[in-house]
Amino acid sequence: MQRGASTAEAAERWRLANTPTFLSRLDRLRIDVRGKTGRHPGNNLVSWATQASGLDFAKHRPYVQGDDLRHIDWNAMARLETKLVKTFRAEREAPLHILLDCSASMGAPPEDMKFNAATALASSLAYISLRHRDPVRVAIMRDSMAFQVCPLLRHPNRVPLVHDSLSLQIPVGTTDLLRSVDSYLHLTRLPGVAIVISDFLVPAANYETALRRLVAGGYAVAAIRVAGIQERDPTHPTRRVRLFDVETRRQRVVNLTDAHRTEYTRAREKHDRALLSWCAANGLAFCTVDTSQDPRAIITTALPRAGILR
Amino acid sequence: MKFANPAALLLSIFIAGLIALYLWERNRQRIDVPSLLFWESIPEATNRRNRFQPDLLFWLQLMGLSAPILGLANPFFLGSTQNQTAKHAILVLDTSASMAAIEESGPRFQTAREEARRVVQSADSSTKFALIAAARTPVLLNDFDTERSDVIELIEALETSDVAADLEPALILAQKLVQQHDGSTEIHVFSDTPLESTHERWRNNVNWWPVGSTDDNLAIVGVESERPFLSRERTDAVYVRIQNFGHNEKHGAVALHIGGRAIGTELFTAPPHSEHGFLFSDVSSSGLVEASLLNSDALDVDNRFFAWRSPARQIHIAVVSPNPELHAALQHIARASAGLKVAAIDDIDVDGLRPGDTDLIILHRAPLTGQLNFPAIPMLLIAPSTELNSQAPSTTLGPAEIVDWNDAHPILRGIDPQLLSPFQSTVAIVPPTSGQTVLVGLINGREEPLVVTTGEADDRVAIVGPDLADMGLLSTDGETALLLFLNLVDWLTAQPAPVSIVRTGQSRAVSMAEGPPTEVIDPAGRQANLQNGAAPFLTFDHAGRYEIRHPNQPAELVFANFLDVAESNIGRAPSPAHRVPVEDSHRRVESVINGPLKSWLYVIAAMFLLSEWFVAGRIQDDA
Repeated sequence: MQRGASTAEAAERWRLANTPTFLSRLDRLRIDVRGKTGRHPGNNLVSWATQASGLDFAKHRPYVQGDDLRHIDWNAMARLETKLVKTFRAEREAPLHILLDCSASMGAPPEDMKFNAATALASSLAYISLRHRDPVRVAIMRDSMAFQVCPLLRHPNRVPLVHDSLSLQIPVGTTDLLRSVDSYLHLTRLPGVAIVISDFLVPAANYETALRRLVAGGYAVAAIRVAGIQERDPTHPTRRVRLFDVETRRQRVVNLTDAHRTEYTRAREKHDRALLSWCAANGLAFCTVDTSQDPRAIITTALPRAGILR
Repeated sequence: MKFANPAALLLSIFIAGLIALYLWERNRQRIDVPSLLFWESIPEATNRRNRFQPDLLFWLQLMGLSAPILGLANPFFLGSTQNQTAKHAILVLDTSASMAAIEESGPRFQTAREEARRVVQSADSSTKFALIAAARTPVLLNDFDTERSDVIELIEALETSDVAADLEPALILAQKLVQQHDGSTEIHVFSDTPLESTHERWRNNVNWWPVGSTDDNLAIVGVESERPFLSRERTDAVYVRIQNFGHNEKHGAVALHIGGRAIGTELFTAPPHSEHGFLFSDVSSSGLVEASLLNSDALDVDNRFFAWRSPARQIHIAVVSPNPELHAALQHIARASAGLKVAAIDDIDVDGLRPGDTDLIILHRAPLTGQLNFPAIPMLLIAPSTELNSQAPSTTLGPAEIVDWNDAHPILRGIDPQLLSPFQSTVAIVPPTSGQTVLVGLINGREEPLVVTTGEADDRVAIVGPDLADMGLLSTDGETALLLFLNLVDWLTAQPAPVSIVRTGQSRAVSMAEGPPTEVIDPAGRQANLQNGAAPFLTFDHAGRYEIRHPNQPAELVFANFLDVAESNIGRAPSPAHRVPVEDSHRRVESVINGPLKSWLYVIAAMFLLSEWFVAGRIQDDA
């Protein structure tokens, strides 16, 4: 089913999906589409449409001229002496749009491995979606733009392409979620599920508007915040440090005292709480991923708990 | 502050390395953060413009690196030339002739005086000083109990002499003074003599303050005005030799005066390091010869030279001899020279001779009646008879071979005495009590005097054992004997010069005939009264005219010449073309240079490094 990975990192990411136990767990998971499906036939039952055939019986309706005679419910006609046609709940595909933050902040500090974790998540989500015959499109967000790393994929055999494409990416550039989302919305009009994987180190107005745009575009939006240990608790051998913003290249010299570190933590937690609250208030699924955690636990436990997977 | 080893300061490049490391380390302290979003509420630590903000660790490292570099550079303080514990200091000032050389900044000796004064004034208040003047002989001018102000006065009062330098006796004297004070005494030498030219035992034991660098000196190194014996006046000449010791070409003139009359002036151009001679011919004057250089140079004392030129005269010789061949030979010699006249006389006429008419009496084998006591007329006794030498063991001895001689005696000038031997026969002579044996011969296995002289001035007597008449004075084989005879005549008939010519630094006995001298006036006109009972020796330390006054007799004149080629060669600095600043030529004894300051710097460096290690450890623990 899967081809061999072209790089060591891809092999590592594959490793997560290659173990029989883990794959079996992923096979049981599905993207929680929350009603956001496309119009193409798929595997997701929708309530807003019926179809002549299917697995899930919806209701009977009177026969009208032109209906296929094979769809007449003869048993009901015998009982009720009237012609009735069975209808079934429609099944539609739920395209998955994975928007991966590929800015420089995702690679800093290197010890946090945020970008590695984000690409692993993206690959796993792509596998889950493709496993259930839902198409997947992966795009990276960088420098106020969104770039597709691969075309719309529909077959599970195309998962290695996702891995390979992501393995070529390097976290550089600046972060502007709003403009990147706008750029992506211009690329496609395929409603479905949009999962934004980022560190969300942008002002609240930026990410709020970006996510709201996605919702307005007809997507079921989920946000995954990726964070690392150093970002959570910055330390350094010397007290006086020069902070260098890898995206804006601004610098700030601070004394890394305990008080300052506490203040930093307070600001970060406030930002995270605000993100969580906003997502919850607007019906978005939200999950914070700590890169120090076990990736399998994240996928099998944290994401389902957050409502991104089921 | 100065440094004994300034090259070590080049190690300061490591300080630049430390700063570069600090800046690089500071750059290493950069933390790449994904965003400053959460840091903006935290106040910034410093103004971003101050890129260089050293911390305590940096300063400790800087001091720990600077201190040993400074220690290796070996700093010392210019004013403090003495060990703080030194209680005595000996200042040796070179007062030789070359110290009078004029440099661009003034006389060398003035520079030496200023340095010595500075040493005294900058020393610790408890330090005592002794002053030694070094030239021909060292002179200790004071003891250690002298007040400092008096020491400075002595320094200021010192003057140079016109003699060559010999610092060795002065250093030995200084060393003896050091040994008297348990070694807590320093020696400072102020001289233009290079330290390298002294004995190596001094090189690490004295503070050497060299002065002077110029080599601009032109000197008269010799004047030859001897009139050849029996020469004609109009053929006489005076020869003057000069030498240029400098590296520059010199132009000038040399003038000659004799007896107060100008004889001539010769212009010249002397290339660097060259010698030249000037012949003043057809000189007929007699008297004091004075040669002088008419040019400007750094040293003036060797620009004049004195000599004496005796007046020409005819020598009248009275000969008493039974040998007609000797008479004939002497007459022949007299005809050949205008300055000699020989008369044969009978011995009975000897008493009638008067000093004004006869300059020399030659008695050949003549038996004398009476004693050798002729009125003030020199005598030459050749092979005297036994009546004269009553103590002689025999009349005639066998062949005599010359085995010893006094080559300093004027009668042997220009003669190889060995060419005289062997004498066929000789008469034994007994030297007078005050006589001086000039030639010694081996006769029958015994050493016997052959030629003896005695007396001074007009009462000179020479006794010659061998019979010169048998040596063929006019023959080819008798050439040496003829020269001996002429030297004897020259010495016996020599007229004392009214002036004495000496070299500076020489000592000479003064005449005590009419009583001891009472005062001396030196070339500078300074008058020194001689105490009664003072030794009748005078030392002439300055070039020029000395006047020695005696009671009841005319003053005695002495002219002293400065003649020392080594001393006239005043350019002794390694680079005589430039002036060595006095401040940069100071040298310190190792005990001062290696004093506590260097050791303390190393200790301080160790303390800083230990502190740095401790502070770095604490910072690491805090992190």
